[in-house]
Amino acid sequence: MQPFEFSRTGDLQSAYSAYRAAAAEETSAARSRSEYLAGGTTLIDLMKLGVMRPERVVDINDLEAWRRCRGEPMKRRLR
Amino acid sequence: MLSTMSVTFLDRSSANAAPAATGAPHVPYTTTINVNGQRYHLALDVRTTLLDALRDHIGVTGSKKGCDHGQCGACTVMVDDRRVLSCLALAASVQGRNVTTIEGLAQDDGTLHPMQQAFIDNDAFQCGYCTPGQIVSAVACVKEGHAATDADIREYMSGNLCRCAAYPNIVDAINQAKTKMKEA
Repeated sequence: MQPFEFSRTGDLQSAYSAYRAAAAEETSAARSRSEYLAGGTTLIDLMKLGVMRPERVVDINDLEAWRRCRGEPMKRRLR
Repeated sequence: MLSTMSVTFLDRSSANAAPAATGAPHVPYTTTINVNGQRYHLALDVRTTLLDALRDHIGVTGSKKGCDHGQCGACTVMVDDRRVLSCLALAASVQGRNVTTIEGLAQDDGTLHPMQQAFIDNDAFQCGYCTPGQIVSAVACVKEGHAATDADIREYMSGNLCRCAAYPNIVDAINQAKTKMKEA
């Protein structure tokens, strides 16, 4: 697995800031070097295989918004 | 795995939480994990998975590394009562959470968890490599309320593979243990 910068935050705004970490590089290319980490079953697996090589990983498991996320049949609601 | 190059220090007594450092590559990431009621302060390569942290750094080797790709379930642990594949979770991601492994199921006096006893009673394994993951998963399966029927058990245990194909006995074991777990 390629090394990466890791940050973990429970705040939506700081998660987004961390995702776009280098302020000077506000381009789609800069963003593509960041990945959000939620469950990880796909991201970590693909990182182990070298398919995904993010330079920054932003762990969003602590986001308050998750607690307001409701699942219904065929629907996901984020309030 | 390339995550073995790291410094580890264990502090089982100190209650001071390590600072949640923003991990830059190659700088050890300090994190605190609660494993089976014990708190561990670790300085790890940020790439270290929860499974490697448990096995190589904390020394709790019950959780097994089967495929290391989330396909076999041998590494299943509980994080705050939810089943998690520890090979696909970063140790840094479970900071401050409560991790339960197979070692954390039995009582302090050595009395086995009803699920562990049920696996023995029903001969629910052959080689035993998948068994820690099977048992942790089975406990969670019952707690989630997904063990009502044999079909439910098979469905909700489908993330745990057994190359010895002890599946019928595993279903029997879960049926036995779910009654005992309700009584407890």
